[in-house]
Amino acid sequence: MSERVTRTSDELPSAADAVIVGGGIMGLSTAFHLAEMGMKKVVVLEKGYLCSGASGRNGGGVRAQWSSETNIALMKRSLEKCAEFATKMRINVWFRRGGYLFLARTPDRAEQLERSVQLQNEHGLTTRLIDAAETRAVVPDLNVEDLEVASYSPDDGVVFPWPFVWGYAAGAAKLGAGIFPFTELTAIETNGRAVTAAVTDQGRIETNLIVNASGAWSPEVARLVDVSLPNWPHRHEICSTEPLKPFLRPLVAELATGLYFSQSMRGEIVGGISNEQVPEGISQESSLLFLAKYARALTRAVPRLGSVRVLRQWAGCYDLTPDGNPIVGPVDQLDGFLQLSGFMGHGFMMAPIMGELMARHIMVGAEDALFDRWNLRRYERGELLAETMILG
Amino acid sequence: MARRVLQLASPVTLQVDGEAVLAERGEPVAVALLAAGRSVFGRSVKYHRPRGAACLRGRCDGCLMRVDGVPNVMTCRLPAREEMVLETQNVMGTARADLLSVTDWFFPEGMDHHHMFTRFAPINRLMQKVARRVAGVGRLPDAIEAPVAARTLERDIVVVGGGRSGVQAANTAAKHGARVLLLEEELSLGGTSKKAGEPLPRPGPPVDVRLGATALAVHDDPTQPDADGRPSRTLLAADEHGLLRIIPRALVVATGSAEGGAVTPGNDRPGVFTARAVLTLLELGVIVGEQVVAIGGGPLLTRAVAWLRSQDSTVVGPIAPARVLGIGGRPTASYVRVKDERGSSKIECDAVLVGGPSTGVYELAGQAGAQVRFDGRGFWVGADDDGRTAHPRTFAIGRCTGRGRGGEGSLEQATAAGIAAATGLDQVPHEAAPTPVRDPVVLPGGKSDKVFVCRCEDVTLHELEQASARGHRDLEAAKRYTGFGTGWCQGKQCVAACARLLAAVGGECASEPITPRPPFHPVRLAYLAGLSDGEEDSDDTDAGHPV
Repeated sequence: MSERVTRTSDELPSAADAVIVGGGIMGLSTAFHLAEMGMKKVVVLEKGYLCSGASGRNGGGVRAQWSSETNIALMKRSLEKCAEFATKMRINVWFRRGGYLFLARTPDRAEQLERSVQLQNEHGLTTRLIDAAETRAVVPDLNVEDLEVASYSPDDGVVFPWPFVWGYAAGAAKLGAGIFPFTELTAIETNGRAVTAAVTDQGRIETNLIVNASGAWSPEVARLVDVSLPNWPHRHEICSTEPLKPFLRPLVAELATGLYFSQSMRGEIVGGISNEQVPEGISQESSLLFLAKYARALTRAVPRLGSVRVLRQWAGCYDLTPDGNPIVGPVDQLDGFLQLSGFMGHGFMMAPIMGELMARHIMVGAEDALFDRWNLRRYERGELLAETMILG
Repeated sequence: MARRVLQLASPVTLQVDGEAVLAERGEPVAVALLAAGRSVFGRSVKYHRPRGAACLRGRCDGCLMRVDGVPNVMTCRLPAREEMVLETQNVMGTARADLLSVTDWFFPEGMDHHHMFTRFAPINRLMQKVARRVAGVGRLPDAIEAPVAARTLERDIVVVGGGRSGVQAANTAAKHGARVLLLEEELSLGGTSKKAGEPLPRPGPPVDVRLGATALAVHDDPTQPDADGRPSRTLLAADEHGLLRIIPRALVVATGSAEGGAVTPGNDRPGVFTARAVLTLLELGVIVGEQVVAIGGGPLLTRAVAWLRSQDSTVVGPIAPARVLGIGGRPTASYVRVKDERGSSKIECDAVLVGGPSTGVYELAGQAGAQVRFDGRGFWVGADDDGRTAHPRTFAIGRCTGRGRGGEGSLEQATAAGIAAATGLDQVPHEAAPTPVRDPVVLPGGKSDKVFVCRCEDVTLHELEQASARGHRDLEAAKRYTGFGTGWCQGKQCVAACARLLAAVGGECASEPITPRPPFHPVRLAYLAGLSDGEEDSDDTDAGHPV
C-alpha cells in the first residue's frame, strides 16, 4: 500500500519546526513545500476531517482570468502546477482545461470585461472577447439573448478539489510531516515578543513558528494572541445535479449575478450564485433561497437544464477581506506568527503557488515583494488594493 | 421469471428501446417491466454492470431510465401511461451485452481511480479524456421544461410519513385542534406496518392527507426570522404537480425504516430484490420468480416468503447471510452459492430476496435538528417517549427512532407526540443517550465477484478497505475518498452499510451519520426555479386527496 494521508499511529510531537494551523489546501500545500525544501518537523493541525472546510466545499475552478497583474501572474503559475500535479504527486485531480467563459449581459459589465481582457492579453494570456454567435459555438445550449459580449480563455479549467488536499497531505506525510485531523489549536504561547508553543486539545507542541492558514477561521486563531484580522466569513452556497454525459466544456460565469457553473469529470453540473443574504459569522447551513435563486438563473442561462435534478446542496465559508486581497506574511506585534488567509473565494486555486511562496519565505527568508504588498500593515497604512473579477 | 397473476384490466403499451411492453395503466413502470421479464434497466456508472429495479421505493438507482426524453427518471415512482417511450441508459451496445463492461473484467475487485495512470503525463492525459467521455449516466433532456410555480401551505403540524405512527400522530394532533398535513410518498398509506400485515389506524377527516408527496428538505433560515424571532422553517415537498413550500409550526418525522441489502459478491445483480420490493410486487399481482432464494430475515422477509409459497413459487431459505458466498448469473441473478458441509454448493434461482439489517430513515429529522445515532447496524433518530428530539420544534416517532419493530411502544409514542406537537411546543429538548454499539459485522467469505457497498457510484468493499488503509478512516473521509453516498440516492441505500463495514475493514466506528445534504430526493431545477422569493406563491386550496 502506498502513501497515506495521515499517519494515525503517530502521537502529536512535543516540538516542531513549524506548526501549520488548518489542514485545508493552503496549509497542506505549505506543509508539503516546507518538507520538500528540507524542513524536518512540520505539523499540520486540522480540527475536523480533511476536506471539512472550504477546500472540500468549493467548485474547483482554476483560472488566470483576473483583473490585477499580481493575480494573473500568480494564477498562471498555479495553473502550471495543476497541470503537473497528477504525475508529480501521483494522484488524479482531474484537471480539465475546458476554459472559462465570462458573460456580460449589460454595457457596464461588457466594459469591465474588455478592460480585464486587455490586461490579461498584456500578460500573455490567450483570453479573447467573443460575440453571441461564437459563444453559442462554445456552449450550444446557452441562452445568449441579451448577451453583450463574453470573454473566453481556453487554458483555464476545473479540478476535482478533494484529491488536491489528499495529494498534498500524502506528499507531506511521506516527507515526514505530521498531519493531524481532529486536532484543534486551543492556545498559542509566547514570550511576549515571539511564538513559543502551540497548545492543542491533544497536547502541546513547542515551536517558534505558527502559520495561520485556517481560512474563514483565521480571525479566531489570530485572536488567541490578540492579533486583529480584518477578514470576515461569508457563507457561500453551491449545489450539484445528477451526473450527465459530457455536454459543457467551459466553466460559465455571469459577472452581474455571480452565477457560475461547470460540468465535473463525473458529469454533474456544479455551481453557485452570489447571495448577500447570509447569516453573520461562520455558517455552513444550506438555504432554500439559494436553491431558488440558483435554479432560476441557471435555467435562464441553459433552459434545457429544466428537467435536470439537483442531488445535493451544501455551503462553505469564503474568507473575505476589505479590499478583496489576501493577508499574507508576518505581523508586526509577534514574531513567528505568519498569516496566510483572506483568499476570498479563490484560495483553492491560489494554494499551489501560495504554499510554495510561503515555504520559500520561511526557508530562505526572502522578503518577497508580494509578502509586503499583501501584509496586514496595508490596512493601517490605508493602502487598499483592487480586484474586480471576483465571483460572490 | 416474474409473472402476473392478475389479468390486465386497463392495458397500456410502453415503448422500451423500441419494443412494445404491456402494462397496467397507473401501475409503476418498473413493475410493468419486471412483470414482462425485463429486469435489466440500464448499466452502472463505472463498471457498466447490468442494473435493475431493486427496492421499488425510490431509494436506489436500479430503476432509472430515460423517459420521454428526460434522463434518470425513477420508474418505480412513475405511473404507466399509454405511449410512454423508455430507453435504457449508459449502454454501449445493448443493455444485456454492454461493450464497456470490459472495465468490470479489468478491475475484478474495484478500481482506485485516484491513483491509476499517474506515472506518465501523456497516458494520464489520455486516461482523463477517456474518463470524461464515459462519465455520467443520462444525456441532457430533449426538451425545455419551463419553471413550475410552487404552492405555499401554512399548517400547525406537518407529519412526514403515513405509516402507522404517522397516521396515529396526525389523528391525535387533529383531535386536539391542530391543522394537520400528512405527507406520504407512496400512493397509499401504511408504510412498513402495512407491508408487515399489521393493523392500521385510519386518518380522521380533519387531516389533510397528501399521497405521492415526498418531503425533500427542511431549511431553517436565520436571515428571515419568524414572528417569534426564530429562524423561519420551511419544509419543501414535491408531488406530481411540482413543489410545496410548507410552513409548519411543528414537524413530526415518521419516516420509518429501510432495509439494507446483502453484503456479498454479486449483490448488485438485477433480480436481487429487497423483501419489501417483493411484497410491493405481490400487492400488484406480480410474482417475482418461480425459484426464489431468500437471504436474511425480518418480518417483511417472513411475510414475503409465505406469500410467495402460497402462490406456488419455490423458496429456498431463509439462508443466514454468513452462509452466502455470492450471487451469480449473467446478466441477472440465476444462482446463489452457499457454504455447506461439502464446502459450497450452488442453488439455482430466478430471483433473490434479501431481508437485510434495517436503519432508520434519519435524513430529514437530522436536518431538522434531531440527533442521530449509530448502533453498529443502523442510524436511529434520538427521541423520547413523547417523540421529542434535540430540536424543540421537531418530533420523531416510530420506526425511524428504533421503536415499533414488533410494535412495542410506538403507538403510545405517536399519540404522545401528537398531543405534544398540538399543545405544547418548545418543550425541553431531548438529549439522545449515546447508543451502545454492537460488534462489527462479519465480512463476506466469497471473492467470486465484486461486493458493492454503494450501487449508485459503483463502490466496492475492496475500495472501502483501500480508503481505510490510506488513512481515510472516518465515515466522512471514507465517503469522500470512495464516493459512496454521493450518487443518485445520496446515501439512502448505502451509508448505514458503509458505517457497518468501515469498522470491519480497519476504519473507525461511526457514531453519527454523514452530514445530510438536502434535498433528500432529487428535485428538478424547473421546480426550484418556480419558487418565488416569498409572497407571490399561489396558496394551495386543495383540501387533499380523499382517503
